[in-house]
Parts: sequence; structure tokens; C-alpha cells
Amino acid sequence: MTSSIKNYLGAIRYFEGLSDSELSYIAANSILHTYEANEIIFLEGEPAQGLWIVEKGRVKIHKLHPEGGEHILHLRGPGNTFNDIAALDNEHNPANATALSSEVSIWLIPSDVITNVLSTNPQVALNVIRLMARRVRSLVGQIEDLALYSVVVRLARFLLKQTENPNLSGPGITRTAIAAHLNTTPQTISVALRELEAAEAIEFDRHRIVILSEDKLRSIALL
Amino acid sequence: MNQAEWYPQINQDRCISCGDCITQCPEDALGQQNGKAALVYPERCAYCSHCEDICPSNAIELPFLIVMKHHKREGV
Repeated sequence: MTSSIKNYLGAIRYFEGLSDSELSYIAANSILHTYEANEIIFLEGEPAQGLWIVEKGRVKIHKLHPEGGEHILHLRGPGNTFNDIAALDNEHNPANATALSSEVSIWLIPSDVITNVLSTNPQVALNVIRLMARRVRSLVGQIEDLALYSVVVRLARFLLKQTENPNLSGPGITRTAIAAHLNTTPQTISVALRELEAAEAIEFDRHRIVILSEDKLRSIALL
Repeated sequence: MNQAEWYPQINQDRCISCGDCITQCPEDALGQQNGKAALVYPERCAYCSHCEDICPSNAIELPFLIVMKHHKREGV
């Protein structure tokens, strides 16, 4: 069990530069949690427990609207971390996390373990600063997409992003989930998908959305 | 990959038991279980997404795998 998380830790940028004994310390203090589809991992406003690392399955990080809708901020798959910010500032969870697929397994590294590693290893502190800067850039990009671009452009960008990280695709990536991420309705996503199909950028093959031409999709995505 | 994960997902809490998806499924794959819509003949499902489109309570969702053409055989 410990060796399982050590494999993941070694591949995570936060922990680049750590010695084998430091990785072992984190692994020995991490806890494996399992969830079924649609099971809540944590709620917004609850005290943060630490840094989460997906071992298997997919997770959505989302905010709920007072009227009952939701906005998906991030989709996370194997090897991805989430709730980084709350794990670092020891404040409350800024959003909700829910399992998207069945048999989701996630490692939790408690906040005090993260703090101990950070306080003794400047390389990890530098890694964290770089990753936080990247997160800020990503959020600025999301705001830009929502404010400036049409649904078709946003969808094209989303599809390209998904193929760059195949771990994010799979069961749970539905039109409703895409709509909740791109701040629109499932019906609008259907229209946009048909538009991309008509432009011969994608095609449907049962449960697959196949990107036929990355160049065409990039052109539509204004990239 | 578990094949069942690729079938239409029906959220029983959202289902209002209107029966529209059951009567309009072109493959007769849907039926009722405990008063709610259910995929009773999954092998018949053609993944046409008609049920998803017509559900008035957005209770039905179809999961997708997003792949590049040259990766078409991967991931399943």
C-alpha cells in the first residue's frame, strides 16, 4: 500500500527533489480513501484535511449555485492533485469535490505532513510556488475563456485539453459535466458538438468523441 | 474498462417518472424499475443519446471518451 502511493509521489511535481526517506515519510502518513460515483469527497466550507492525489478514477471540483446548478472548476484524473490551496493555507475548502466515476481511489496527505515537508525542504517550497503560479495562470485563462469566447471556441479548447491529459476523459465526462464546466447548458453543448462535427473537426463513434483534425479544432479554438 | 460505465446513466433522484424516454427509445432499451426509468436492456442501447436529449429533468447522461483519431483504439 505504501509503495503504491510512493509511485505516485515520485511522479508529482510538488515532491520533485525529495529523498527516498522523505517520500517514505509522506507515504507512511497518507490515507487511502475510496468512493463510488457521485459520492461526495468533501464540501465547500469544511476545514481542509490536506492534499488529495487521485490514484484511480475521476473527480470533479465544483461550486454549487443557490438555485441548484453547478459550475465545474476542474476535472482531475490519476496522478492529479486537488485542494492544493486549502492544504497549504490550512483554511476551509474553497469548493466541493465529488467522485465522477465508480471505484475512485484517492490518497490524502494530511496538511501537517505537507507543512512539515515544506518547512524542511526549500526545493519543495519552490515547486509549490511554481505550481501555484501555474494555477493562477490557469484560473486567469478560465476567466478569459468565459468572458471572451463563444461556447464553440470554449468547447474546442476543452476537447483539446482533454486529449492532452487522457486521464481526464472517460466515464463521467458527459454533456452535462462539460456544460457545467463551460458555464452553459447541455443543449447548447449538443449544438456546439454538432457544429464541430459539421466542420469535420470531430466525429461521434458511439461513446467516443473522436478528434479528426487537431489543426481544424485548434483553428476553431483560436489557438 | 467496465462496459457498464459506458451505458446511459439515469439519476433516479432526478427522474420524474414521466416515461418519455421509455416510449421514445428507438431500441426499446429502457423500461421502468421501482417506478423510475431504467436501462433494462443495456445490450440494445445504440448510444443515440435521444433519451438524454428529451429527458425533461436532465436525469439521463451519456459518458464520453474523448480521443484523437490516431488514438481511437486506446482507452477502452
